[in-house]
Amino acid sequence: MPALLAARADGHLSEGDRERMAAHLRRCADCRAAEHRFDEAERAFDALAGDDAPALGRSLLAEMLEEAPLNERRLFARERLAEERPDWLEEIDWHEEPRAPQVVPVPEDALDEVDPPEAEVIEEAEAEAEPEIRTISLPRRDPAITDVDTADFPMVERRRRLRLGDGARKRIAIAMLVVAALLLGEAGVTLAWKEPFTAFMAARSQDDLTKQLHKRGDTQLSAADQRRLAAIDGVDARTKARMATLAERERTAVPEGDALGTISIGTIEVDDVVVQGTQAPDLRKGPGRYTQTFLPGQGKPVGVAGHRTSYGAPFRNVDELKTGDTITMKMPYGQFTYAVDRHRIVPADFDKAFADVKGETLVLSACHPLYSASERILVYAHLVSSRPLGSAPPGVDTRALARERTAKRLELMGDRNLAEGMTGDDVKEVQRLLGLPPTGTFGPETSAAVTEFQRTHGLPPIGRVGTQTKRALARRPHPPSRPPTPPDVPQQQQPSSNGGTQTTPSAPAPVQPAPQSPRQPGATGPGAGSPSG
Amino acid sequence: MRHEETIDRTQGVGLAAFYDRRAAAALAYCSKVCAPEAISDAVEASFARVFEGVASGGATDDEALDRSLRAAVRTEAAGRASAASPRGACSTASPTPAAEAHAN
Repeated sequence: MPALLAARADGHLSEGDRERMAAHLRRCADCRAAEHRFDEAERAFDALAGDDAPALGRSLLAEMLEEAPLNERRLFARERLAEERPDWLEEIDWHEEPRAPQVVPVPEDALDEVDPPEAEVIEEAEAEAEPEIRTISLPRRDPAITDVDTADFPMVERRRRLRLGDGARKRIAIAMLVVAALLLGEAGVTLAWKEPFTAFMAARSQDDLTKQLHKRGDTQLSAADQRRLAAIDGVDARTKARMATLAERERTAVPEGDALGTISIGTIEVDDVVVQGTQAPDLRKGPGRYTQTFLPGQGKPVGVAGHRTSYGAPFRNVDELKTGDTITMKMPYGQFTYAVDRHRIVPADFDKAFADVKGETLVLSACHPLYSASERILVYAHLVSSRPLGSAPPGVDTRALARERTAKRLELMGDRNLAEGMTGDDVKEVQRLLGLPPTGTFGPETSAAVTEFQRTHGLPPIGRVGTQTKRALARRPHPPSRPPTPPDVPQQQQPSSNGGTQTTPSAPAPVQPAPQSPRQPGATGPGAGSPSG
Repeated sequence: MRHEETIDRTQGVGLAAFYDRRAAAALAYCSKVCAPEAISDAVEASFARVFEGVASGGATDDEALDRSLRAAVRTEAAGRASAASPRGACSTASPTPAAEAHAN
């Protein structure tokens, strides 16, 4: 398996072989462990292969060459590198000390009960470039065994090993300590936060994906889709059909590994770009959509997987999600809010995560428990709300939208005439349309704002809300986005025209309607078609 | 082994500098994969492969050397990999046609 892993990493395996290998890896825990070690090795290499990598020093190589017996490779190095004599090679003493024949020591007590057999050197290594091969006969304590012809004993081959001097050993020890310290540090950071090297790579990928998402812009509908959508009755139905159409186009057109949209989970601080696909290269960039599932807006299961330890660990704390926590997926064509329903822990080979869900359910998937892949955690969330994003849907009657919005506002403001001292939801709606905090109590500030509104809209500035004022309020394209500045002059009581008292500012209240949005009435966008307009 | 090709002085100095820059990375790789007693052998053999490649007329730019070293380290480390498990051979412990993502 190690050789296959190396060949795969070098890209030397055919697609069929890679698939067979992947199938085997799924079945074989040992080979997965080997694969994991190779992955770690690749990351370790990447981490230390930068321009600022620590240099071990050429003297290490020099000493290794000096101390080691010369084999063919070292001969090559000596002949090819030393002939040019770069300075660093001068440190090497290429002459090897003549070595005495080695004798295998025999324990004293092994000779007690038998004739003392000598450790016999049968063959000495002669060529310095060849590995030393010696055959020895081993003494035995059992007299019965001594009767056996020594030629029957197994041959023991010994290879000469690289022998290093004290200096080289010290340097290697220091290098190993540095590497060990780095690896320990990485492990500590991984436990406390997330795996740092892959997190850095994932962050870079996320930056690229964000740019890709912004560059892509709105998905355009084909002429046929526009005609089909225009034929649908009802604004809501048409809007949903538009989002579903655009979702299907995204689902089938976006290549694996490319950005689809974003996912935000405030309670566990997730804010990542979601990519198409859940293969390993896809998930290294960020959370990925299971290709057998659908996209938000299609009314079907949406499955998203993410790492918990490495590559930014977007779903590290997914097990902390509680019922009711909201998850927002923002796609180029719409924003979708889901509420968490439940968790589920399943075996790693569970393949029915999406089989028993109905309608538009978001399913988040990650390994479980943390630092392990023995199980999976699934988080189920149902769709709470959606709103269209992007350009106005073709075929949408913007005037009809404006009429619906006006009617809704009039309904909320009710039938009664509103004056200071009154309370209720109808007062709240008036306050909302005036850009005031919706307290539900018609106080002096509300009265002042009503008066100013009436003055600027050609109505009698009486400070009370009747039918005409309600209609004018309901027709506003958008309510002010911030409350008007409260009067900073003393208030005084003045008799009202109907005999009561009415609080008005001594000077015209500096109520300034907030700048109006350039959006046209009824234009589709965030919130279009909703009561809030 | 016969090497008819040669490495000129400039290449020799360049290779020495390359060794300086990448020895730590190769050592880290081999220490993850190899049996402990084989680590230094694997590192040395990896660089030897790179040097041989250059002597045979291979490219000497940094990118090519990096590619060559990465491939050499993989091969040499794989040849000296420690046993995958105490059992020594791979097992088919559990059929896991799991979810696509090994998302740990």
